[in-house]
Formats: sequence, structure tokens, C-alpha cells
Amino acid sequence: MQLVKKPYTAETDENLMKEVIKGDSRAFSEIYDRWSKPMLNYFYKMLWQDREKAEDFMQEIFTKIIHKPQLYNPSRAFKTWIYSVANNMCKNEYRRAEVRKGTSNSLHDNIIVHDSSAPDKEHDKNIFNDRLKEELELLSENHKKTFILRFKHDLSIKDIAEILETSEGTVKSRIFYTLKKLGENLKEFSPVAKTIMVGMCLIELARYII
Amino acid sequence: MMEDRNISKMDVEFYLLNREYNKLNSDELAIVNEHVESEQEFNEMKAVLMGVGNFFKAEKELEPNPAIKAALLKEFDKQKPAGAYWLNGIFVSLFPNEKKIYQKPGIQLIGLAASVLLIVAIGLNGNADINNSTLAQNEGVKTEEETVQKLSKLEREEVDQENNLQIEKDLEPTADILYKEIEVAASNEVVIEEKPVAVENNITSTDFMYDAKLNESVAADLDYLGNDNNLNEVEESFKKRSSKDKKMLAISDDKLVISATIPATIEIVEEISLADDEGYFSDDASASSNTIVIGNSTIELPINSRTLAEDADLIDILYTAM
Repeated sequence: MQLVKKPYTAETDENLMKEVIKGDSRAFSEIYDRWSKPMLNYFYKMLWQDREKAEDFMQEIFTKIIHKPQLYNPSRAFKTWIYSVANNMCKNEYRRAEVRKGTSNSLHDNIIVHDSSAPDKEHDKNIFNDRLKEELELLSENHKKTFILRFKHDLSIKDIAEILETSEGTVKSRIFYTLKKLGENLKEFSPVAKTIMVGMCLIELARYII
Repeated sequence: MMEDRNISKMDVEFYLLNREYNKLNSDELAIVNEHVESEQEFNEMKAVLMGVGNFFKAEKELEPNPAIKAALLKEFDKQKPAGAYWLNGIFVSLFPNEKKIYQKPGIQLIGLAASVLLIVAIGLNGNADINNSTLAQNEGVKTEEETVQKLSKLEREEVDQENNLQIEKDLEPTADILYKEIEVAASNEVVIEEKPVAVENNITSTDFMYDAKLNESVAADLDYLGNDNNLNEVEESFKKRSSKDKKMLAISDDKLVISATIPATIEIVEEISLADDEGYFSDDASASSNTIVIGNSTIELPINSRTLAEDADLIDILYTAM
């Protein structure tokens, strides 16, 4: 007779979800501990850096797990499943935002709603980071999602393709396009550009001396 | 970073992160040139990619509000029936990680138990008799006192044992005598038995004792015993019987009687008186004064009685007084 269960921290997400479906609250607690932070930050990035909205969405996704855990297919990786659910929630929110935008003077006219407690202010002095943040917000939703999933959440091309329900080639293409666009917009920060600018300054200085 | 994102060598990202444009070989350059038009573009993308990595690393991540978890767990408990219980679940329930140490149920229970124990202990002490003189007695001192008492008791016992040994030593002559007797008897096939009364030829003191039942007056007794002739007759009779039977010496204390055939070499050297201090004949042969010669050995028997003849004057006084 087994009296002591294997520690939940050693279990995979998929096994934990099986326990959640059976009604194990400790398994749910472990799932929450693992995924609440990534989900919160994903929603924060994807939903105009609105912390309250991000927290609402994060709570909503776990409420879905509580009420409809059978939506999860155990044969599928939990990570891609939860990101795809989050992605669909974001899509719905974008649609709602478009509707609001059409019917009223919406806030979300490419306007970033900054949470007063957002940690981004810590990096305000870093020009590159500020510029990059701005450029990311200007990206299309699909490019932005792909870029964030790739570089913020360290997901593979394959996983991103599964989450976004698209092909790997499309994902690669989106990533490359984003990099190219950001490179163009932030070229003053590239080493070559810096070298050229320093060279031009030196030439101007020489001319002035002569 | 490369392993984390499962970057393939077929991806431009790999070359952007790990190579310089002018150091790419022809194959790598072919892959890169599918997406990148020039070295400048390559370097711009490289700068962005390096900066993005640092940007996301440096970005402080939001922490979820603990209240959300509590609300979700509550919701879960409402929605889902309780699953199987495990022993390690008890510990987790008692000491949850997310709560502060004084908020943990296990700590609270331990504190409660300690408080109850303290109250019970105080309560028990409160019921103690205040007038009890040993209330403030130091247990350690008490133990030492007990130890001292035990030691003194042991010392007393040792002293008693020494006294007993001394007494035994005092009794050693008798023991030697008996030992010698036993040795002699053994060498002469004399059987020694410890019997209070076992005279084989039924010679007892009563044979020689004045019968008080027949002579009810003391005067009559004195008349009878005062007569030396009567006494001599009794003594002669005893000697006769002893020498005739050669079976019994009646070396008898209250506990030891030698009832056996006495060897011919044993003879009574001194006169044996069987009269005690009161003039009665005693069945205790050891009470009579005598010396026994067995072969070359001489056994001195204790003398603790006097003959009637010796006490004749006392008898006279008593008679006069009567």
C-alpha cells in the first residue's frame, strides 16, 4: 500500500494535469506555481503592459483549468497547450479592442498603457531598451507574439508554431522579419553604425581644426 | 541561449549570434544570404538580437498576487471533490510554504500544545500541598542524603557482619572440637547425626531425674537429692550403663547428639555430673564438665554446671528458709 506520494515538484506538467483532472488540489497548486508567473508576464507583454488586465487574464486561464480541465489533451505538451489558450485569449481581447476602437475613442490606438508599478521604469535610462520596447509595441500582433514567445519565453520554433497554429516556416519568417525591421529602426545602436558615427565626428573635427 | 531555443544551424539566428559576417564560410554565407542582403544588415540584426537577449534578461518579471492563488484554490476545492489523501500531504498542509511561519497551522498547533502542557503543569503544581515541608526541597540534595543513608546502612551491615564473624571466631573452639570429633568418628566409622534427641538405648536424663510428679514437695526433693548415697548411686548407674553399652556418650547440646557406638578407647577421665544448678539431672550431657580422651586426643568439654554436692550448702539455706 502506497502511503507517501511522489513529490509534486518531481512530476511533469502532464502528470500533474492528470491529477488535477482527478481533483487533486495540490497538483493544481503545483501547476499554478510553475505557470502563473510566465502567464502573467506573457499577458502583460501582449495586452499593452496592463498589469491589472494581465492578472485578470492569468486568473481566467487558471479558472478555465479548474472548470474545464478535460479541454487539456494529456497527449499534448502542457506548455504549448497553455500558451495556445493564452494566445487565443489575447486574440479575443484584440478583437474586443478593435470593436471598442471603432465605437469610441479607444485607449488602444497604439497607445501603451503603462502600469504605474510596472518594472519597466527601472530601464528607462537605458535608451536601447526604451527604443526596443517602443518598437515591439509597434509590431503587428502576430509578429509581436512570435517574437515574445521566441525571445522572452524561450520557446522553440516548433512549439511556437503549435501555439500559434501555424507552420514552422511562418514562424521563422516572422522572426526574421521582426529582427530585420528592428535592426533597421535601431541601426544607430549597431556597432557598425557607431563606428561610422564616430568616424564622421572625427572627420568633422579635423576639418574644423584645419 | 542557443540550446534553450533549439536553434538549428539552418537558422539565420544561429549565425547572427555566433558568427561574424566576414568569418562565415561559403556554405554558411549561402544560408545567411537567403535572408540578409548585406553585411550591414547582418550586423544590424546581430546588434538587435544581442540587445533583445539582454533586454528580456534585465527586464524584471511581474510576480503574481498571492491572493489570486488563494482564490483559485478555494474555487478548486468548491469545484472538485477531495482526491486521495497522502501522508506527505499532511506535512504540506501543516507547513505550507506560502504562509509566514506564525501563520502555519503546524506551528500554531505546536504552540497550542505547548501552552496546554504549560497550563497543566502549572495546574498540577498549584494543587500541591503548600504546607508540605518538602515543597522547596532540592531533589539533588535529597538524593545525596539518600545515598549517604544507604552508605551508612551498608556500613552498618558490614559492621554487623564483622561482629558475626567475631562471634563465629569466638565459637571456633567448639567448632574445632566438633570438627575433631567428626574426624575421629569418621576414622572410626562413627556415624554422626544431628538429632535433637536420638539416644539409641533410650538413656535420657529423665531416667535419672527426680520425678516431680511423685514427689510434690520440695522438701522431699531435697531429702532425696541431698543424700550423697542416692546421688552416687545414680552416677554409678550412669557410668555402668555407659561403659556397658559403649554406644552412647551423649555428647549432646540442644542440637547435636552423637548416637553411635563409642569406640573402646574413649573413656571419661573426669567425673561426670548430670546434675544442674537446681539439683535436677539434665539431659544435656554437654552441660556436664568432663574431658574426653580419644586415642591421643583430649577433648575439653565446656563446664557450665555444678554438682549437687557443691551446691549442698545452698540447698541447706533454701531448706532452712522454707
